[in-house]
Amino acid sequence: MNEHLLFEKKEIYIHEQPKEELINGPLIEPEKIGGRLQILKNKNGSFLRFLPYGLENVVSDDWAFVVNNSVLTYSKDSNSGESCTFENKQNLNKYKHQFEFNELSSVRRIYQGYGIPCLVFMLTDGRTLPNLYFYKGGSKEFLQELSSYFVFKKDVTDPRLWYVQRQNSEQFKQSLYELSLFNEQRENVMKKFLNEPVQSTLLGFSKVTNILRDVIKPSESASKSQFYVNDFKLDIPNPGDDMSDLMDSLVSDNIHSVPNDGYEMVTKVDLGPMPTVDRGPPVQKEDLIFDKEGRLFNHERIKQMIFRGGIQNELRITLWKFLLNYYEWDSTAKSREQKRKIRVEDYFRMKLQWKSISDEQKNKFSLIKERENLIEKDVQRTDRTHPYFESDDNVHLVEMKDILMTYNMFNFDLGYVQGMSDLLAPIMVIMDNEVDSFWCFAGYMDKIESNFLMDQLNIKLQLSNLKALLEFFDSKFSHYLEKNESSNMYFCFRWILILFKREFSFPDINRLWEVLWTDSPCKNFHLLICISILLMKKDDIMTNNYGFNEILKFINDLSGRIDLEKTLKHAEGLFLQLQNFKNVPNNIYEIIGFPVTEKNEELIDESRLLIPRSSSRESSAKLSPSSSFKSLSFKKDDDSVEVLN
Amino acid sequence: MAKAYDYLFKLLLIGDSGVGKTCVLFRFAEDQYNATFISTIGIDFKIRTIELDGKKIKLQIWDTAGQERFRTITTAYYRGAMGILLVYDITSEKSFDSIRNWIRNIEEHASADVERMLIGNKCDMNDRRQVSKERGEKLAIEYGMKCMETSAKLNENIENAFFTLARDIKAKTEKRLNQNRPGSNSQNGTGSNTKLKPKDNGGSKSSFFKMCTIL
Repeated sequence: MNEHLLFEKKEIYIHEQPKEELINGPLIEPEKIGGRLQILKNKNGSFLRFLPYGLENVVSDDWAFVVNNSVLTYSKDSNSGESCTFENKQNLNKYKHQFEFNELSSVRRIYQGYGIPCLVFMLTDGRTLPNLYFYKGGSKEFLQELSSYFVFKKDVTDPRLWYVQRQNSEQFKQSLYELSLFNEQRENVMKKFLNEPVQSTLLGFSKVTNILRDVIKPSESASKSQFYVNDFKLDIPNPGDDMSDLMDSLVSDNIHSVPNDGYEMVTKVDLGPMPTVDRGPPVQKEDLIFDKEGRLFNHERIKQMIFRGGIQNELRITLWKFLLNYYEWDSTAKSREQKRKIRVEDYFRMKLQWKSISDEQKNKFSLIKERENLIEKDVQRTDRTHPYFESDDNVHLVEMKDILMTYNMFNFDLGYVQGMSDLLAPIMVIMDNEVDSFWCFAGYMDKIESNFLMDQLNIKLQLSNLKALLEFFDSKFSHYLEKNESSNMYFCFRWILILFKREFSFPDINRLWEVLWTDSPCKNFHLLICISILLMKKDDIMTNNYGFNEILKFINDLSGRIDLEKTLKHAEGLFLQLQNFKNVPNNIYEIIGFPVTEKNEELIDESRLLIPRSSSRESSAKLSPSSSFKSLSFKKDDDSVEVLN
Repeated sequence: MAKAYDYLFKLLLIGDSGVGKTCVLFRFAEDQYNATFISTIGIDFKIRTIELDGKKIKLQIWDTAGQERFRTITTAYYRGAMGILLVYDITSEKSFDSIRNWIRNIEEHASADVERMLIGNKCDMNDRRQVSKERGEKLAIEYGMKCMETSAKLNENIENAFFTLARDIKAKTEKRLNQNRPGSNSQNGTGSNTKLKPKDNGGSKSSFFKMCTIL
């Protein structure tokens, strides 16, 4: 290969997600993959590469010994003396990363949790490289070196984010833009709109303009207008529709009465300062007090503690059974014992139902056969890097199959849907018992069964609720997503379907799920978690000017790099903001499910007067069998125009 | 600065759950194989830049969840795909039977002139074969597409499949490009662009040529 090394920095590390909670406490030592970060040049131009130790051919200070795909590497480290690792070379390959310089969109320099500087490279197509930790410093130096190849600009809102300014950036944007598959060029939309006989629509919009004007100049009717704005914006049709562009132009062209940031004013709801939220310690053994009949004392307090700090790993086996309705919270030891006996019998009875199907019978029972196939395939590929499921001849793999097959008998109408094995795996690791795992899993499924239904309507409802929340909390970003055809929020599908299972490490997902299982502090708290993550990452998306495809990629690549504790605090902060805010629109109230207090009742009544159809529209959205978001929102839009008359 | 690529092609991998779409993609994009890959939830893509006749082609390859009920979500990302690999598992009759459904699915959600290719994966497991090579070929002929048997595990025909598809898309793109050159007899009479800019052809489905970019 004709490549020249231009610059190199050694002792750079990638952190691998922790598989198990090894120690108690917020900091779990990650697995580290060391390597070098290089700037190289070949005939196609310059590129950047992270090369894990063991994959290089030439070794200088360190050495590597290669036997059959496995590499023993040795490196001197002035901090900790020396390190020696034995790794499979095949596995190392996945840590090798490289990209060409003209693919670089931005780079962020941060101090992640461990106080170690790290660089995060984001590419024009939405990919994000893993965090590269500079254990021995030198991240600034590396950036400086890079800046001799790029014109870096510091982001206005985020001083740690540098984005690449290109002379031919137009071309780049164009290519990405064209890849984002707009049917028409955006600039033409307005013209086209005007040329075509859609006066009625324009008429409708002109009314909207008036309302927006009201909002821009907040008057005595400010709070009322707020309802309008939020309700209206919800009705903006989805992916990159002409409407949203029109909206855009209306806002920027027609109502430009407030200089420049007029738009911002329309959209910004002043929720007041974000309240500080403290997280607590996990529930410990000492916190659990049982009375003489074995009843858990003050379980509401325990639930609150779980919400605030989670559960110590050893206690999960006990408390998850309460959280997942295996046992009643106020059950006595005796009743639990009885219940468990029944549960065991029930489980094996149902297990026998499918176990006793003969091969001959199965050949004429295609549904069972099909589901068994699917389950077998998925069991083979669920969390196989976790020690509990790692080896091929593993009893836990058999158990996982048996649990899923039995669940299929237990809930045959639903059957087996992909994603279920993801939900089951952490439960199995904690319970370490087939029957208990089954019933806890069944309890979990009770909570989120609707995610897996054939029509996927509930997923779509959640995604549209998510959009409504985002519109409320940050309509600028919400508008950005609309402009980039992403207002259906499909890029959050994985988050919602399996409740962030693929986004966090095992220890973190245990924590997150037990928090969610407490059903505190409000319903749909998981949507506030989504909002938190999105708000924390929106600068990356907007600064890199990511479009339809890139947004999805960027969100997918967040997996393993979201700070859970920070997110939980932030999400609760959002909840408190909502709670303290006087003029929360009706639809947001419904999503969050605040208990309706007297004051709220008044408020809701008022809003119903304003928008008499809102509730019926809401239900039509829920019930509509249409699988297309687009038709839904158009319908809603029509209504809203009518309402605004 | 050298340009990143001459063309950018969006490709899709679709087919039943467990036929090996992700393995095919990993083999091609990262030259790795792992029998225990995780199942795909939702949709994701990987990138590999290849060179064909001196042109740098960036392939953005989308990997989708196979289970039917997730299609409403995954098809949202079909738009603009210029090539589709329809994958079945040669050891699974059912996955082969599903190909027709998948083709219907494409017809609804992808552009009409998308290049298609039929892939019979896991051809290393000949002893468990349920779908003969001939049947694959017959189906491919019926729908006017190329077909290939591959093994992500043994790295058989993987490169070949992607390169062939990319070559066909490139040929199609360049042909259309030439037609659109000024002075040439352009079919749609808008031959004023050497850049393949999106144009509204009045149809609801976007033509795949709109997505091509020449830098």
